[in-house]
Amino acid sequence: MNSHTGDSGQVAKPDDIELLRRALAPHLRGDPPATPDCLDHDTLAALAEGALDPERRAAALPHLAACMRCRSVVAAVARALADPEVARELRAAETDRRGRGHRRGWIAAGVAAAAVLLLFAWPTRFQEETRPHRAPPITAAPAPQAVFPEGPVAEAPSLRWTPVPGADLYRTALFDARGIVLYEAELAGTVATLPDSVLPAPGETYWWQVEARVGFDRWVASDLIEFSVARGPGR
Amino acid sequence: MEDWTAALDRDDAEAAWDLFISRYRRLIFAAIRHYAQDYDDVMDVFARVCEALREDDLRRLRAYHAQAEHRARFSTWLVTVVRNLTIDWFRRRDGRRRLPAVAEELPPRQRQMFEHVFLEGRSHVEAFELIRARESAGMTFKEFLRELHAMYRAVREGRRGSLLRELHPVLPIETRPDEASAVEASERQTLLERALATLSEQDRVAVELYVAEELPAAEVARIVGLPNAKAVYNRVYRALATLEAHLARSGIGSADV
Repeated sequence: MNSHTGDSGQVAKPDDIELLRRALAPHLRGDPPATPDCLDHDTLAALAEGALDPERRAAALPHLAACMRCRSVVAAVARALADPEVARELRAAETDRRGRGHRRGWIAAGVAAAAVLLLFAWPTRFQEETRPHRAPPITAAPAPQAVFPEGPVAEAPSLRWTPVPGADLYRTALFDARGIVLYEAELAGTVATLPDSVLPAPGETYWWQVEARVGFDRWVASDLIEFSVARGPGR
Repeated sequence: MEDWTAALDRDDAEAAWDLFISRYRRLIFAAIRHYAQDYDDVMDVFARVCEALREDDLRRLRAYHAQAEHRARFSTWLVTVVRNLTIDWFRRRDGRRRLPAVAEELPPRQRQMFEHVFLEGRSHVEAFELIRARESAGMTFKEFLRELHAMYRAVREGRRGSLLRELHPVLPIETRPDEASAVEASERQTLLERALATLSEQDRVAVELYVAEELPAAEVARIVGLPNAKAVYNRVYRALATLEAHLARSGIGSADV
């Protein structure tokens, strides 16, 4: 910390601040337990983001002055909010609140467009079982559940899902964020190893889905699962 | 109204949970990764966070939703809850004295200091005596303090320091080699706490957040309601003068603190 000038024009020496900092070091002052007077999460969060109204802040300051535990929480949350990754996800969550319906519809449209292309424009093995729609018929069989990947992951060399009782075949597809099909496969097992040419790239968002054939012309589908691969250590 | 809260109002807990986790999963992961970088730890903590948020029929989420008025954004409230659950999870890892990733990159002597101070809970003086007895007979306390300071700085800075800063284990009151006993050290600490208590509440919080918690002055200004960073500097400078005067009356100079 550099020296700075107070309003009297005198300079506070960094050494004095450092001496006080060492004396006030939390590891010297113990780990106090929570008390019934401790501030609730909502108040602590509001203090950390600077959103507490003046009247409530004035009411909270006496406790904050006396309680090392609550001060530590406020400081910790303030530091977390300043973390670039947390800040980015906070912004995304806030804008997502407004735009999620649009984005979900866009992704669904992209996926549906990809499905239409699969069925009618690109000859693939799926055309051997052409059907008027890809929506799974009503069935009592449980849907396959995605095991991996889901959400942020370090890497995604394969797609894995839970087995479905009675299923003799699975088909899975991997889409990029625009709904373009990157990979598709039919297999009897519950693991689809992705070829090197389609390994998900760090920082990108992907979607995948798996369907299980549980009877003649009867398929049950998992939810559309979103995942992304974390960037390397330099992120 | 968010879609997950609408599902709560319909008493459809499963749908509410699916909608909530779909929207906030990435934020939860980001908040956990602020403290943990090991992939397995992150996933374990995430599982614990989900368990805690789901327990008792989404009690925490229902309680937040039921509040007539909210003081913070839901996302900030969620970061606060995740922070507490993450720290509790790490604290409860009893018996596992493994060296955290943050310490593995330290030079050998600093790694030893880390083990003695943070994993074994020894005082700095005890750590000094142990290291000197085992391998560094010629090391002076001044040299030890220099390396200790470097160790603290290395482990507390950056993303990996966040967890260590939060966990800070309870340590015996620090005793300097020239002090007769731990009682004197404890008395010194008591006098400092009394001096702090003479400050106004806003000044005390500003001093604690800026000096002890080492938050940037602009953040402190926002939290305590001061107009800007300069106002924080002014308050801290005046508080420092007040503390020095109070301690001087008790016979303690700033170098004794």
